[in-house]
Amino acid sequence: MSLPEMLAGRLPVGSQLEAIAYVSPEQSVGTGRVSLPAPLRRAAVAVETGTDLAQTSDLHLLLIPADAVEEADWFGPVQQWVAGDGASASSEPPRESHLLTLQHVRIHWSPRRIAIIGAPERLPSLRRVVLECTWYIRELDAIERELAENWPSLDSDLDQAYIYDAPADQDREEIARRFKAVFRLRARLARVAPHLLSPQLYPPTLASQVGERLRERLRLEQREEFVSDQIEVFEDVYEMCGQRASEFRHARTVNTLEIIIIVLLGVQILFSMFEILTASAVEASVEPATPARVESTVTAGN
Amino acid sequence: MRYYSVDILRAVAIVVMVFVHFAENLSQVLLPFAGLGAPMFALLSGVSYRLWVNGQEARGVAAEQVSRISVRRGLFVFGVGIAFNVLVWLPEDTFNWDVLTFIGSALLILNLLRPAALPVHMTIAVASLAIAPVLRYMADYPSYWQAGYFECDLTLNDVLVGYLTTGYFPLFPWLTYSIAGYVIGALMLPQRLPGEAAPRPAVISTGRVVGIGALLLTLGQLALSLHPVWPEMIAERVLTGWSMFPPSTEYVASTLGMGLILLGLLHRFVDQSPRDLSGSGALRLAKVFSRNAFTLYIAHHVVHLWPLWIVASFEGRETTYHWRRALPLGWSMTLAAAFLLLTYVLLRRVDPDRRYGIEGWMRWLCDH
Repeated sequence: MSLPEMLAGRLPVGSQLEAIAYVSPEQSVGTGRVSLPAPLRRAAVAVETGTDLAQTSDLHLLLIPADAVEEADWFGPVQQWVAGDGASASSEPPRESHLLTLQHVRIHWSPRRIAIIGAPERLPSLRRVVLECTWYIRELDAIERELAENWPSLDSDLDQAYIYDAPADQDREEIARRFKAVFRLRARLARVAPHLLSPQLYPPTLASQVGERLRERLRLEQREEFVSDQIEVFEDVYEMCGQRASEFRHARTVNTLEIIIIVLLGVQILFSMFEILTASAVEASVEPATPARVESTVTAGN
Repeated sequence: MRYYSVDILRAVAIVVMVFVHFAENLSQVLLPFAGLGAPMFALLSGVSYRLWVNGQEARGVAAEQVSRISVRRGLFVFGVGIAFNVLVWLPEDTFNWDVLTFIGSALLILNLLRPAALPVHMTIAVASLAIAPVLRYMADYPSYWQAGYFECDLTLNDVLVGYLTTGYFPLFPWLTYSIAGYVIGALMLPQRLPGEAAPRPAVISTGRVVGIGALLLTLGQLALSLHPVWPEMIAERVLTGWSMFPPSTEYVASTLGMGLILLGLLHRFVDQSPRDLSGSGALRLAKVFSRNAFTLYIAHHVVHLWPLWIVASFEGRETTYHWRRALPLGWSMTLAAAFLLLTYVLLRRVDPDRRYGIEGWMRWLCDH
């Protein structure tokens, strides 16, 4: 992939820009595959320009083989490019970007653009750890975003955690969908959490230290804890909703059966009542005419 | 929310009834579509009640208040029905159990059933249809009908038996129509809950309603065609062939099926039509007749029966002397058409706000 205009011709020889896509492990596309730990079922690959994947690539990674001991004149433009306020990306708002410097390595990081500047032999291991960490960060971001979107729904569902009636029951499919969505978020977080919370590797390597710094800089441990607490609130509410829904439906089924039995008993009573009514009607019709009745009949006849 | 499908069907039902009653009471002619208006009226009473309940719920009216109004409305319709019998059919027919007393009773029963789940409604609808032949047999139905008219002694037994099963529009099996209408109204028509901007989608599609209607119609017609081969006991007591008095099982199944088919089709092609149909003259006509169906039902009886009673009284004859022999059919039909035309003009011009009709009185008296 060709370098951006603002950097073309200014970077050291051997610099390369990769469009990175996170794909499922079964997809055999791209080059420079970095497989993420098994439960995540993802692999980062560099995709060719012009392919469909390149159009929807998740991030751009700029690898610059250079010793980052001394200030170079292209450091500034690289930082600008990562932050997204370069000429090539004027339509995009500036992004939150971070700069890590460690053992002659310089990493400019933002969610969608990363530049790694370091000795050529160190670049592959740095590439691996940065792509891995970036995936964790993206996952956490996505979970946070989805949770933030779900707060209004939670507010509207709070009533049903306490009072669950027939109108509320019409929403049960929607509530069930949200219930599943919350547990899906919990599962996603559970898969990422070990990598966010795992202790430092000993003895430390450059790559492990970069990963550690990135986690610290983006406060991933604390964020994971907050997200976990928030999901717990959702879980509590939807668990109560689920329980109320189940109780309501059970009670309604039992009530319906009881009422149907009452209806059948009513039919039985109706038949009995009818027997009495019709029997008395027959008796009344065969009752002999009294003198008074005969008299009135005669008068009417006249 | 107002549905044109309901308006159209109710308007058709009232127009059918006007023509049938004019032909029958003035000329003693039974029109070929006699017996199709009343089932539609009864079915729509259930649909309309459900729509009215939906409207109350959408406005956040408390369930208790809805019940109170329902009971008042039910009693009002029942009371008007009794008054109608006394004043129009004369006091000796006070307890002939006409369609108004039935609809009043149906409203009271639907209000009682409102909190129950729909399977309960369906069970009662089926039970109402199933027990009707048994009750008729137990009551010895033919003994209440003399020369094609319902006659009962003014005893509590006969009045109750008439109300339940032997009258013109007894509770069993006519309740089946109202409950079926209520259930279809709940399932097919979208409902808006308080605080929600858009109505909820319908639980069942119009296609399914049409399918259920087609099934009922087919079963009814099948039972009719098999009538000659039924065992004698069934043919005489259960599946007695096509008759409105008594409402046989085949008649109820077929007319209910027809009602559901028409309701489903009209809901699909008129209510859900992407075109704005509010300017259509036919729909305006249907809306006027539908909104004033209760008034029209009473008024058309008054205008064609009272003159008969009055003329006979002046002539010193029995009040019902001219009944069924007053006019030839052509004149009866012309008068029926003239009545409909005149009432349409009157209702549009004189009472556009619907304040003076029976419906207006009902709202004034019951809805507070």
